[in-house]
Amino acid sequence: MAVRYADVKVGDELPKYVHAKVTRTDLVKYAGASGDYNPMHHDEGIAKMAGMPSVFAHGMFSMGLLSNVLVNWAGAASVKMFDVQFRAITWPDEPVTCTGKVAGKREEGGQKLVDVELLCETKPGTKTIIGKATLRLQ
Amino acid sequence: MAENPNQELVGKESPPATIHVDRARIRQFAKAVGLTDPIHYDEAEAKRQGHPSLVGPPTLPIALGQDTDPGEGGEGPRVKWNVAKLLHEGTEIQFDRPIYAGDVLTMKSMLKSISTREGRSGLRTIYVMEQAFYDQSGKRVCALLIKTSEGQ
Repeated sequence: MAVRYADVKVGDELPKYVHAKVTRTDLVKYAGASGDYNPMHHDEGIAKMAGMPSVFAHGMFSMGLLSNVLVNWAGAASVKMFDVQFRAITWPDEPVTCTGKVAGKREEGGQKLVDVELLCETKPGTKTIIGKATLRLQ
Repeated sequence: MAENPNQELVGKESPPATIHVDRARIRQFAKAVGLTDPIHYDEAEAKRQGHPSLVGPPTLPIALGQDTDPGEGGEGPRVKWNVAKLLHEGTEIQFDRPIYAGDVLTMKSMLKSISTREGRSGLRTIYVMEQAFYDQSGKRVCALLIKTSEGQ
């Protein structure tokens, strides 16, 4: 059951979403689904030749993981705006913890809107994404 | 500083391309990012919840560019930049309504803006590329703003 506007309070934490470990298979699946075949995300040889220690996750894969926080709380159809900044690279075998917090609520043009602040971290303190979203609730 | 040679591309829409959003792409994409809500997989459940069909995941717009009909444009503007010095800074997605399986969308791309920012390692040029998606009545469904920066 998706959250209702009347029940939301500023400062509420959204249920967190944890992806226990990023695998190379995850990255290949995401490449296929997204159509992003940049070899830096699946070809170890090319990534090393470019001076990277290994392949690394697509920023948009992490944004996709982060979308679970919004979807699990309010449903995909509630998303009006979702904006992220990439801050650090996510490497294979790292866990990704996605969290969110209500930053504001407002009624605008007949819509009930909730603004949330979002974060992806690999190790505690290593922020890979800082984001925000606006959700339309009932 | 010399004017950016890409300035002439700003605001020019690329030729439109058509995308048929199908159930398989929605399911494949939802699975790839770990979504478990049945409205991304189960048509009957999506309808029971009042949606016309499967609901597209919030970051699906990034994937739609690969599904354009053959023979149409679909390519973004040809920005001249140094690929080795690019960073994907961020992405913003705006929805006027959700994407549903069965949607036939028209995609238009353009270089929306060029600006500069002083970063830790010197001046960076920020390019914002926009892909906007419209339904068959010409109403915007969603837009994707991709922010890329180029170092000196």
